[in-house]
Amino acid sequence: MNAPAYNNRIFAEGVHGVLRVDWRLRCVTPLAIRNGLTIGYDETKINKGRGLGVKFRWREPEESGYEVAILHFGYEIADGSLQTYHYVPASSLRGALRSWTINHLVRPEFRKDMMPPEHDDDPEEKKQKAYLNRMRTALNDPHSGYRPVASLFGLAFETREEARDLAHAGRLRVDTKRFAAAQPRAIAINGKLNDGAAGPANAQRQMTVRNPLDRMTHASKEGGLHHFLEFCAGESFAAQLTILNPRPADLGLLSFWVREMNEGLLRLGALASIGRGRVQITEQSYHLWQRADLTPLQRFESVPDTSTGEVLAGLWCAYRLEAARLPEFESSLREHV
Amino acid sequence: MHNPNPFDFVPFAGHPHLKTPEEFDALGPAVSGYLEVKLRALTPVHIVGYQEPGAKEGYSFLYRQDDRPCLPAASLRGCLRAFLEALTSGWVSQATPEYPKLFHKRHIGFRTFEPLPSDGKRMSRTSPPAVNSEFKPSIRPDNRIDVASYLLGMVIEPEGGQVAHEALARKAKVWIEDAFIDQQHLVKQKYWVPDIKHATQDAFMGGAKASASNWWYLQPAEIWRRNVRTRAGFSILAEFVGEKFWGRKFYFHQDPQRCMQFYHPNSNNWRYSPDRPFYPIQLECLEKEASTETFRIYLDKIPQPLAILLAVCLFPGLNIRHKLGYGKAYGYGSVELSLQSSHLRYDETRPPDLLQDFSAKLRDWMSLAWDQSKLAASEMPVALLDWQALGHLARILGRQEADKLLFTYPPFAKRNFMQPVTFEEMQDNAPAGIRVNGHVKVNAQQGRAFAENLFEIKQPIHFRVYQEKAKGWSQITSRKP
Repeated sequence: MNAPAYNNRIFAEGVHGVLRVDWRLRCVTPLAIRNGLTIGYDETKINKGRGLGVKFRWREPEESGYEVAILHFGYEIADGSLQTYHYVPASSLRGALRSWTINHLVRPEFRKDMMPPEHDDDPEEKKQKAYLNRMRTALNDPHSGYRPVASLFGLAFETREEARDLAHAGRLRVDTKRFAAAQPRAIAINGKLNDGAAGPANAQRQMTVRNPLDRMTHASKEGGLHHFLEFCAGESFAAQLTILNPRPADLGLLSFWVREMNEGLLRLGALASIGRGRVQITEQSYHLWQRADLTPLQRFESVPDTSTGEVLAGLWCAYRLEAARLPEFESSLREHV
Repeated sequence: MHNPNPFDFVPFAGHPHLKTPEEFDALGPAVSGYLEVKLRALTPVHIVGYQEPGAKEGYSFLYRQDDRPCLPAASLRGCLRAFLEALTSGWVSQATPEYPKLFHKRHIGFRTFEPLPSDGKRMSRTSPPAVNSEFKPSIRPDNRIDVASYLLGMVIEPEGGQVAHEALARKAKVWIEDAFIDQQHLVKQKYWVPDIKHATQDAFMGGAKASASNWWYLQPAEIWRRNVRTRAGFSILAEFVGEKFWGRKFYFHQDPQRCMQFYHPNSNNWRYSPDRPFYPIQLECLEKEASTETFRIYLDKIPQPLAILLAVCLFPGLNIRHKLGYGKAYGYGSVELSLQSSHLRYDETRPPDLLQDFSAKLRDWMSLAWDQSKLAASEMPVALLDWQALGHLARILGRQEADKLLFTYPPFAKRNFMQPVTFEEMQDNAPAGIRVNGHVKVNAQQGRAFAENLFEIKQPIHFRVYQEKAKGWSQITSRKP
């Protein structure tokens, strides 16, 4: 008997449960999350001195000066002034989770060419049709591993026709909080804190250098010397994942995410090749709110509403999972791949 | 008899060894996880964090991160990648693209991967590429890449109007973390490297820089007749024009304390002039025999045969050891990695299995270095290796008798780098059958013959001839992997 085709109407019965995951992530190694902008800095020339006399200007680089890529930041109006703060954008964490999931859950033949082709590259839409066929095949195969990915992260397509039987919003939402300001807040260079205009003050950063060597001469490759900023190891931030209508397989996937992040195999940001982006989940909590007429997920214990202070308190029943029991859901995920 | 030069070259093979990523993927089951390793200093190790000048000596402080001394991951990666590229006839991932002609500084311009035409007053000439352009990293129509790019990633700089695109970047499958050093293993005021000071110019201590006007970095191609203005008037000199790089450069191992004695003014081996006086740079080092703290090297879905290759590169057998950091020419930076633990898995199941202890398997893999038949039996693709390059790497990076050999730069002195060769001297010493009236092309044998005949006038004309006539050369050539 053929497996049923993928049903994209995942909210046909409405939302009947919300799982809230709270994590605190601590940077075990430095973290480089950039936003595409650069700032200028001055460097006092000292004969045969290297790395001394650097002064940052938290503004666009001047034509004749030095520049360095800066780290992601946001801004708000507080106390009548514009305040900036560093944070890891939710899209960065979400993207890392999605990428890991595709690379480890989805059958190899469905891992590539699963992004919509560029229109400019495909005037007769042959590539677009091939892409849709691949997506349909992956989604209609219950063992492709693609269904959990689609269900959590959602599926989007270019046109209504394509979207009709495949597209839907995802059940997962990711939010992040700004860095916790746990360490001295200036920019460190070669171990020394720099006193220049440091920009957002809620995370310690460091400026690191790469200096590739020419393979034939071992001289510094011309134009190769470059600096970059990164968040220091030890910085931490909170993240919240919300999953609508959670299933046991979702918790199984969460368990893998936690383990793989703690092992360092699921990293955030750029420069994993030089060890950046390893984080450890130092705190984790799992709360479930569910319609009263439904049986809660296994292993969740009922908790009084008043303990959570949440908007759903009093409306739905509240439950909590001991973090240590999260791995018990992993077998549920295996049934879906 | 002179000491051999502190570095030597691993010659390029005819072509790079390339495969498509899919061909690499298909080599075997994928392995993921991490190794925990320590790095031990066989000689003191220094990576520059920052330098401070002083009146009579300079100071170079070890690299720090978060105020903790460390050997940065980028340095460890670079060391591994350079070795891997040479071993597997890989692309030249880092190369200065052009050495332009500069008035009074560089007489002949050249490019690494492309020809460079120039119009001189008397002649036009196109310098050919110094390296076969096939060794330049590129996005190929057949999508083939070298092993180093497959394992360590690549970013290919867009050229001309080309916009940066994902096709120009490939994610690494080997991730290396920083190696931190306990403060108690640092030593100051004990080790130094020689340098020279000049009142107004950036003085430079060390061997010649890459130039097409000698056969030190580039192989013999031509001899030119060149009019040069000197203090005595005009001289007609022989210019030994080179075209192709000898190969990829690596430094020999040696005892830095013996080497420093050689360069110290008190030894009278090395002459320092009053306007370029001796100026040592004191180095803050990871002390000899000390180790870093444990650090991690990650594998991200690497086919097992290439995981074996990675293992033999990280732990390269009985004799070969790597060099890292500053002062390699003076013996600093000889290092050895040791495996502390391994946490790996075969990454074929969905979702993935737990990481397990692979130490026994790792040690089996390490023991394969460098037995070709055993490596083949393990299904490591031995055809990917340049076995001749391995022989050269063993000569240069072999530790046999490293404590007994001394490697020093040819001095800037008579009969050495300072020595010009007049055109007449060159003509008088031309090999039999070669008449030189003006510019002359030479092949490899002829270039060697010229250098041998002129050796009593100037020793460092031809790099290979200089090395082969050095003290201890037979011990070096007898080194095996």
